[in-house]
Amino acid sequence: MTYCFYLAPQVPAEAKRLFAAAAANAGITADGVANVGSPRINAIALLLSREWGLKEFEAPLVDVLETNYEPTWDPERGEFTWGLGLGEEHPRGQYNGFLAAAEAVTPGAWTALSEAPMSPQPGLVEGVDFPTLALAEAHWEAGALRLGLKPQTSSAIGRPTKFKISGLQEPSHWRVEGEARATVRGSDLMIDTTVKDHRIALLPT
Amino acid sequence: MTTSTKLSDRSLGWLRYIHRKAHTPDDWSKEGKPHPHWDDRSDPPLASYPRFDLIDSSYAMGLMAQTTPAWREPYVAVLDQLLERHTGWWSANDWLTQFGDDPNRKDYPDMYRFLIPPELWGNYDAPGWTANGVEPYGIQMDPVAADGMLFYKGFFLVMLGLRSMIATDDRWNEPFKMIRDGDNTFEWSHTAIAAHLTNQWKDKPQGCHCENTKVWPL
Repeated sequence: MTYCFYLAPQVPAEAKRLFAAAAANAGITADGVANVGSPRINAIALLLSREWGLKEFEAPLVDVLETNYEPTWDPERGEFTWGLGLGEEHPRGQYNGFLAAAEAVTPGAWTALSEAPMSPQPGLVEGVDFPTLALAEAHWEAGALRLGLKPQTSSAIGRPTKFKISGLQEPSHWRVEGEARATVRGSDLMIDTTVKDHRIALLPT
Repeated sequence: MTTSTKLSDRSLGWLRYIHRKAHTPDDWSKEGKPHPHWDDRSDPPLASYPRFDLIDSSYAMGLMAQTTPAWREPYVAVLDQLLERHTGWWSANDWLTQFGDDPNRKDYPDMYRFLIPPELWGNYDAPGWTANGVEPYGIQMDPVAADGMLFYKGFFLVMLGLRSMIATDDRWNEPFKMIRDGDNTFEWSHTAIAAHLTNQWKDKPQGCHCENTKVWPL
């Protein structure tokens, strides 16, 4: 199964054939997962199921993860990890790495990431006060920059915060939609806003 | 590719975790020791070394960046922390301490039997024992230049490649020092490692060794 992950972007047809064999060998079927004690294999299987849109495998693997891998929130830090039922002080990093990748992957994303550098953007967000504030959304769509802001914890909500948009051709030719204020500083556009769960957009004037 | 434009709460929560973990200072030099939150114990004997945590933590960074293409800063920052550690002595603590045949190979636990040909049980190094110095290769202290250690330089290249896919600068193509243990200090760059591995593959069509004497099928 591990090989499938690395082969997937390079030789997808062969990787899918190997995946079918590996899944059968690991007891991963549409009816369930035989071996819950292999988090690396099951996490990679879930990742590839999502990468390739194999819904019949995704559901039983999600069930295994939810039931056996101890998804855990640290409310004070706003951090999420999988404890894997091991009772250890530190979450197992190797397994958590693949589980986090499986959580983040969308259909075709692993292949796309392996094929070419990400496209240049009309502007990039920089200087976010992470982790106090995070961006769940940050993408350009129809000439507008769409941002979805998320606070780290409830105690962070309401704090003033700022970040910048760099790389804009004409920073003075933009306006903000939502609870935020934009000011030009040199070649950048500074965004002043508040730490909370909200969305803002940057649109051309 | 189906484009998603929003990270889940869980992804953001894990990003906060790995960001804190990666930015917690520790010392991967020979004199130091990685913080215990780096996983050096999963899936022995093959993966129970801390560099595998660096590698396995890097994939989600690239995947999350695909969802928030206009915000890549935290992912690059985490990858840089992972990559910095992968230049330290502890990134190759197996290669730099496991010389010759494994002195414990007559005492392997039964769980290793599926890794070792039955007829060679007791007289065969388990995968995971890197066997630096065995003939005909001899001692090779640079894990990148070495004939073996494909899994070291290959996974390092994956990490470097992930960063190059999402970052807007080319930091790791500037020469950097690796291992940094006196005479055992080696200078490489992303491109230089890739070129070296390409030449090794050309010279050995049968494949490069990970552990010395062990060429994996893929």
